[in-house]
Amino acid sequence: MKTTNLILNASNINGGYGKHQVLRDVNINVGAGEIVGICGHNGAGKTTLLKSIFGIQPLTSGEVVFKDKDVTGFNTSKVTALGMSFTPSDRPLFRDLTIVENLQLGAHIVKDRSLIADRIAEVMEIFPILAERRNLLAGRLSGGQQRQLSLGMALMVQPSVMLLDEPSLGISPAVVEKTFEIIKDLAARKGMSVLLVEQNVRAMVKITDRVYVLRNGEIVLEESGDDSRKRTDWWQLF
Amino acid sequence: MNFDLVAQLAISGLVIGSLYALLGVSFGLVYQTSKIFHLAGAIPFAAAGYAAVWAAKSLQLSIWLSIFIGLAAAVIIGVLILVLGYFPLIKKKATLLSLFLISLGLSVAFPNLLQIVFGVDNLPLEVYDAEGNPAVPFANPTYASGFLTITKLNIVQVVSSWLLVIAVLYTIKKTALGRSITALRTNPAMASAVGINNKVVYLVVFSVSSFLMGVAGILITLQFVANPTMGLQWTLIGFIAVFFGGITSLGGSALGGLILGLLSSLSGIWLGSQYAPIVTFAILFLTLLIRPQGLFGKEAI
Amino acid sequence: MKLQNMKRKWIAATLASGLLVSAFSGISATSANAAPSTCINKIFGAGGKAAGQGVTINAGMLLAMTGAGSFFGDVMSKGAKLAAEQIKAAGGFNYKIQIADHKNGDVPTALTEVKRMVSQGKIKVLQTSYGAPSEAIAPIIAANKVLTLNGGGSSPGQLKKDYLWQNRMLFGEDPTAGALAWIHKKYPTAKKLAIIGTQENGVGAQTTTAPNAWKKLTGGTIVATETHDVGATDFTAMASKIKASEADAIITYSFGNDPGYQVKAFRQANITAPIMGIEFTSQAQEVAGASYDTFTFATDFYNVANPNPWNKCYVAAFKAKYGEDPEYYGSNYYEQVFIYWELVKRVIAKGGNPNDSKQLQAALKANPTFNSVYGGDAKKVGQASFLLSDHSISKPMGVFTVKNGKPVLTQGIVKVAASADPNSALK
Repeated sequence: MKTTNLILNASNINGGYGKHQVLRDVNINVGAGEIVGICGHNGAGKTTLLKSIFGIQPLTSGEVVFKDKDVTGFNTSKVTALGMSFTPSDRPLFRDLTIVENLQLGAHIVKDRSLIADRIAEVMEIFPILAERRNLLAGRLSGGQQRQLSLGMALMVQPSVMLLDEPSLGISPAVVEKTFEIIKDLAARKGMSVLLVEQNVRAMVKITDRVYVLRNGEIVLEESGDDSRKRTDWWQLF
Repeated sequence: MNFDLVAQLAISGLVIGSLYALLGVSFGLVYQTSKIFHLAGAIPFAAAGYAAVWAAKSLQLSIWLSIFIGLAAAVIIGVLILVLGYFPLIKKKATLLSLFLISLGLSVAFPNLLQIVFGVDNLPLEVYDAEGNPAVPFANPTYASGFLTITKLNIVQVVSSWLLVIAVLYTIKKTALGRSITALRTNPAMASAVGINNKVVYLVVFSVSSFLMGVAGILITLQFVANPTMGLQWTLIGFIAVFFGGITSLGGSALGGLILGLLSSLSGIWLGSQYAPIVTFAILFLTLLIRPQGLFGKEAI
Repeated sequence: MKLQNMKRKWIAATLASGLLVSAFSGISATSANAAPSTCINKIFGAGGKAAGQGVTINAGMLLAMTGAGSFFGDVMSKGAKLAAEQIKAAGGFNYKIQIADHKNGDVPTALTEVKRMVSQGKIKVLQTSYGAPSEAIAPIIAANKVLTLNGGGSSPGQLKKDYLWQNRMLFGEDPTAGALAWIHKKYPTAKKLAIIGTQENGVGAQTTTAPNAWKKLTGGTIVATETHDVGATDFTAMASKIKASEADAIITYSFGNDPGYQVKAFRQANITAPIMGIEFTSQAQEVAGASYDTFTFATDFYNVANPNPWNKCYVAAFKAKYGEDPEYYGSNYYEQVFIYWELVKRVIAKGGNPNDSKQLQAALKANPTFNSVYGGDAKKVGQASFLLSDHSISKPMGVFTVKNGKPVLTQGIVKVAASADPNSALK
């Protein structure tokens, strides 16, 4: 499937930990404004793929092009400065700092510090609960609120692409759907692209424009959002 | 009970406890940020003393300039330990144990180096004449009020230790640098995700920590002398202060140091002086047994 | 604190391979037929065959060459090397030195090194140092008949051991009576004594000898007994307690740097009572600085300014060779080489084999008095005698005060029996 206006293109990605190869010739791309999902079994290499794109996990071979720029091997502060954000699945915030401090840290690479107050205000407008509890330690927030904060932190750099690793982790089932709604809404509102990795396929496909299935480090399926929403045989694919 | 004695012992405990607090914050800062058991913090401690004496003796500098050179030497050598010692190992994903072993090795080898270069003599920090002989001793008058005494240097030790401790705590709490340190300490993966460059933070943390060690080294050299093994004994107590006060809390480390100093000094009311080090270790042991997170530390999450 | 000892061991261990010194003395080959008439010949007689010329004796030295005590190893080896050179130049025997490092008193290392020197180095005589290693090697030197002298670190555990002789007064024990008698003479109203020390050395003096002598002298009391770990630096808490005890006088059996830290802390706490110690080192003086001028000590202290002709000859040669004044430890090890020389001469005179330590020890027992750089006067070389009963030595001792950082003899004292009147220790 061809997508016009590619904002992120990762090609022939190979990578892993030491001698253990996790990713094998992975090719994925994200178009401007597109929400792309990656699903697959535990250990299929989903998180490693996100980390490889963001530059936390070194590649053995392959190329990552972001906004027509080869960013392979860039460190995270450079990639972030170009407009990519990454939100890890586990503890995506700083529990011992207040909400405001977390948001400030989200904007760590923003050189012009005068922008920060405005952006915090903007994030708080999107997530009013964060404004209410601005001086509370982040660790005191509920799971769903923590997710909101972590999205808010990502927004602080005004990213063109958000990489989200399992945004449904650690929040109650009732809130999962709402969180995905928020993500979809944000992408639309900001004209942002989203590349997200998720175990909860059913929730994910409700918002994705396109889906990849990763198995044993290889892409085994790529299909449109509409096709994926019709699919009932997910487990066989994994 | 002799009230005069208790009060005097409390004064001694305050002086020594303030130095422990300074060392505790210095060690805690490095440990919290990098998880490195930075025993080699003893090196900037001794380097400060030796560089200051060297400047006073060989360059004929005033005490103040010599102290400045001593502190600069402490920071430089502390950063060198990080850049040449720890960074290559961290890059190779060495375990914390191997980092500790490097630290241990350095802290053991350095006194020998000092001994080879400067000899085994005790070197006082004072004004030297052109031949390198002590000329004007460092003036340290004693102030007395009845039974109680305290020296001018003791007052300087207490005041400068707490000013620095408060400055560091304030920086951690209130500045962007402090937030980066907290971020790296509590969640290194997320810190990397928001683009915090941990190398830069480490450099700043080691500079500050080595500076604090250097200040402690200078204060001890002024009180006594510089000698090759001066660093280790003091820094070990600094480590105990950290575990006693709580490894997760810098303020706790500082208070831990103060309480440790007071307890080991006040134990003199009942116990002979040879028990003071035993008291120190017993306090650590009991703390680890009853409250492993330390007096002011948070439970592990 | 014990950390000090741990540190020493770590330090010693790291340097072990690199700095294990097995140096041989740098004796230059002076021509034998030059007719020397050195100051040594004036005191010890002419050189030549009867003086051991041409006889080589393999001599070991067991010293602290690395670690915190390397200062001691350095000065001890300097003293012995100078003596060997002077004796050879004066037409005496060839004292061929090999030095082994006991790594600042590490007993297992000392045992290994002495065994090695005996089996491979073929040593016949040995100069040892420190208390613990010297006690430990006693069985080896007795079994192999190596006549051994210890000039630094005497202890009761080394007494009455075959082939082992002490060239230093017993630490703390021997000068106690004289030290307290001097305090009593100088401060007749002093009744309350504070005793300070460690549990490493001089324990008997702290717990028994000093309290008994003080009561005999003054009828007074011991108001404070404080012990601390070797190598402690912070004596502020102890100062508070000594001050609260209102002691009229203080005697400290601490050694090394420790008395320096004590005197400084005590004076800063405005304690004005006299402080008597039992050793002086320039290291401790550096620690205490000007406050050490209020310090008094009683010991068999080596006095550079002693006008005894041998001492003058020694000091001049030491300065010429090393550019500094000799000190206490170096001097004992210097003296000891001359004791061996004297024994070699005696064995040769009897037609014996000077390379047989059994004959050397027999010659020592036959007449245990030797020349000394201690004592004496401008005309007369000093003398010291080994006690055959326990292999200890009796040397001239003194009470010294410190003036401008330098010790000055103020009162000669001698060793007296525990049962005797302590006042009789004042000479």
